[in-house]
Amino acid sequence: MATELIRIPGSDFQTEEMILNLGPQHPSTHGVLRVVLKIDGEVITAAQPDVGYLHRGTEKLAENRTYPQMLVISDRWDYLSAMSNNLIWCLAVEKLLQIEVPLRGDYLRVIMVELNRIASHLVFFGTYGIDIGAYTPFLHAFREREKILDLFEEVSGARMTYNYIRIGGVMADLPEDWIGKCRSFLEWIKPRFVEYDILLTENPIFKDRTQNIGIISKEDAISYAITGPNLRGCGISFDLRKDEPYCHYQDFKFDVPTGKQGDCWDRYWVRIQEMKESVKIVEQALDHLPTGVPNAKVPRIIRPPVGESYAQLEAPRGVLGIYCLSAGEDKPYRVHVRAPSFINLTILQKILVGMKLADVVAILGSIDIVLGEVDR
Amino acid sequence: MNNSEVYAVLRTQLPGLSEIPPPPMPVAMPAHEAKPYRDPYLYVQAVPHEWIETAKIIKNDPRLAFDFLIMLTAADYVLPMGNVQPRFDVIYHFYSFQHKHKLFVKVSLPRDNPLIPSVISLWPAADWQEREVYDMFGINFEGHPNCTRILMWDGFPGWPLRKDFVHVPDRYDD
Amino acid sequence: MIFPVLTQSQKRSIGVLALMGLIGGGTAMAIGELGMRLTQIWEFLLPILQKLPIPEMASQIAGMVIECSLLIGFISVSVMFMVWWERKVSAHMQSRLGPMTTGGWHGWAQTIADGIKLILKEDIIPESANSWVHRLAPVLVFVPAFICYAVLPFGSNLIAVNLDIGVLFIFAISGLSVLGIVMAGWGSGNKYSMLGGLRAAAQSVSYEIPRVLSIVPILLFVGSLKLTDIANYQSGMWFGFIPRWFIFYPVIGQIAFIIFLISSVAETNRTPFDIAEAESELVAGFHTEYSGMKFSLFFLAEYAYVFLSSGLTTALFLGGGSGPLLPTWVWFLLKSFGIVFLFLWFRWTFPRMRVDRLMEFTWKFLMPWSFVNILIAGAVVLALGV
Repeated sequence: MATELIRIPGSDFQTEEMILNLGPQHPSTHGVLRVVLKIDGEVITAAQPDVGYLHRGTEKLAENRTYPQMLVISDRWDYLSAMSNNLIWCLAVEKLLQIEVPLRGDYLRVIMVELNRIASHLVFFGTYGIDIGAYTPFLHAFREREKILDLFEEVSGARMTYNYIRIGGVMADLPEDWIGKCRSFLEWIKPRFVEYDILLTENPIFKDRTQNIGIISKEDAISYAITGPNLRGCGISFDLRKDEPYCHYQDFKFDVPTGKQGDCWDRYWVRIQEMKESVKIVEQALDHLPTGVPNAKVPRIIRPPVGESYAQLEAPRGVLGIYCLSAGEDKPYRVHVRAPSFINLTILQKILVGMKLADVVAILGSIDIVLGEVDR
Repeated sequence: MNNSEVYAVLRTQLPGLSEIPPPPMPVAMPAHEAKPYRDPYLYVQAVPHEWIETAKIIKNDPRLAFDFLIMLTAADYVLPMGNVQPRFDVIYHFYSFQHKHKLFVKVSLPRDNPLIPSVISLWPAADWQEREVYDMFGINFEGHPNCTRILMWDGFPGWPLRKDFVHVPDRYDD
Repeated sequence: MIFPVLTQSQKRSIGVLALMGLIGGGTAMAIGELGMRLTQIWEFLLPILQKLPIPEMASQIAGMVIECSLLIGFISVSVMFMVWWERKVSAHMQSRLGPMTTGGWHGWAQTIADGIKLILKEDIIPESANSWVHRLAPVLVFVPAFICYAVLPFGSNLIAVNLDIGVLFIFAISGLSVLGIVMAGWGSGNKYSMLGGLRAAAQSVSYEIPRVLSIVPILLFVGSLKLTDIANYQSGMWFGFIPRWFIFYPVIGQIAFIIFLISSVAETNRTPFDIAEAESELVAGFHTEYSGMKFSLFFLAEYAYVFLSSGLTTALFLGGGSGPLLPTWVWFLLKSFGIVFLFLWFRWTFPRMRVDRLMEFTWKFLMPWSFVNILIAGAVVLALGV
């Protein structure tokens, strides 16, 4: 971008806009994102995010991988909530195969995905605190996350790339005492949410830093296809778990928290409330966990018939979708990932304009992107 | 509104539009394999040279009101797949918050010099998704203010997601 | 208030801390006894020394050198302790452990190890920097802190130089550090350091005003700028159990204490006012281009200022040395480190304030309230005829 000379009316004093590069490496822990800012003094006049540093070519890789092999790759899109990625791939393939997962499998999937939602929002909570300058909530959030990751390690063997949700169900049924541990974790985390509210959510300095900045209006949210907590922070109550239920989500009672104004504080608040709702969902799923086999009968070599499917679910970051074209072989013909962070990031170009330089990090953090998903 | 009503509204205003039939059953198929699958949404085929008018009607007609562009992608049919000819398909997926109905629109482009008008003025969400399609397939979007590579580096030779893409060994290969 | 359930190890830690407190108190009393013995030894030696043919000037200079070395020794040890303590306190607040291995017990030698490491580092002066300004800046930031320690009343009769203008001296000299910050920012030759340095300077200068003004009610009561006078004014008790500390003066004392505390936190560039030094988002702090010993001087200066502000708060508001049983210097240190703990607590609890909100806060809130406080105090002084 070329800089322009700005004439300040009423004086023959010329100032030039400065181009500031918020480079691929910066202390806000969001990954390799580059934002090129044009600033005039303290106010931003233009912003252009530059992505692609983490592009690994999953859509091209998909054309040479069998359907179960793609599960391994799917973990790495939004690596903070890998269960959701696994689930969406399985939903897309199960649609093509037209098989139905038994109820127990669905409930196990819901438990894992909701626990992962809590873990992912805890990372958001911690890193957003650091962006604003509060260093302590980060460590408290990660202490909670360790417990969730311990649960996941018992169930799937891994802490980040779970590969637990498989085509037709899940990898294996729960270990013996997992439900007890999960319940004790849920009891442990409920008072922590009260602590977080006192520490950060109601903190006047935090509110001062995050309210009334980065406001996304409802029209902008819809036309820029913003989804997830960003959309709900604007006041539009659209949650795929309620509006287009998948995996038997209609069996669970939970609320969809919605913000009022669309500023950074509302988006933050929506995520904190979502964590509490996820705890409710996991409790209900554990209470009503049906018995039986969690997996459906799936052929050894997965060769879906010719066709196309589009599946979407409510990932912690937004609406995650997969559009899969099958040509009747054991490898997909075309896979496209509708990544929520990629599409949510476009609105940064609009909402940063007119903001002060000190607010950039707060606004960027509140959109909650994961570069693995942005670049795929 | 269900699929046939939406199709009726579209068809009356755009005679060039046609509905895409679901994929046919292959002739010789074992009985135990499932029949071809397609989602129960409405799939229409639009014409490239009247794409902008089509898009405007899709967005602005109050009975349709598709204000949310969920997904924009493309597919490259090089090897004959079923009974399709080599071509590019740009695939749009719309949703309406008002009426809660969905729509898939496919626009077919020739493989040499593919050109399609950009819908960024109607749905700003198309901004980066069109850039990604350009980056991966080489489809040019007219009217896009910044149609440059987004995921690959500037100056990358070739269009990666095309089926006939051959990787030119560069300095990142051992 | 969240009172978590205490685990076994937490109960053990509290027990250990209580035991340490008791042992420390006992040792302090023992040292008080020792101090009396040392004074007796000194009184015995003094006539002998006076008979020796040493010129007056030499003994005066020797006295000054001894005082300075005691002060430098105290500052170094207390800064080392404070750095270790900050790491431990922040770690326990964040549910982790902090330094554990260096030196054995809970990593007490961590700061010494860090200090040695910093001394061994290469000293880099950027190409585009003005090397003399770059070199002098840390000195100009650290030396005023050290000078101000000369007038802190560490206890009764334990003050290096009992100036008549004690309080004014501290505020005047500590203001010189702003010059050092600007020099550090400009002398680094880096656009962003300069911006950071200017912001830090603006913040320091703005917060000096409520800091000074909040002291005025105390001066109205005491009538003197000498810190020992102010400390002695606060000895004794009301009704037998409320100490006569300024912080307990209804309304006036509390407002003054809060304004002084907040301004001190801002003066020392600590969170929530640490835009200058934190890994602040875009603009790097004014001490980015410093490495090795010069960086450690900045670091040392910051903790020296923290203790200085805490010591000043103690002397002005908390009675500085008054208290039963233990010797006065022990009370002074206890109270000062209590305020230091407050500083540490603030840093690890609050997020950072934005620059413009920070400035608004001082000019539109702290300063008017300190004026109001002066009015109330003046009215009270007139009414009571004190």
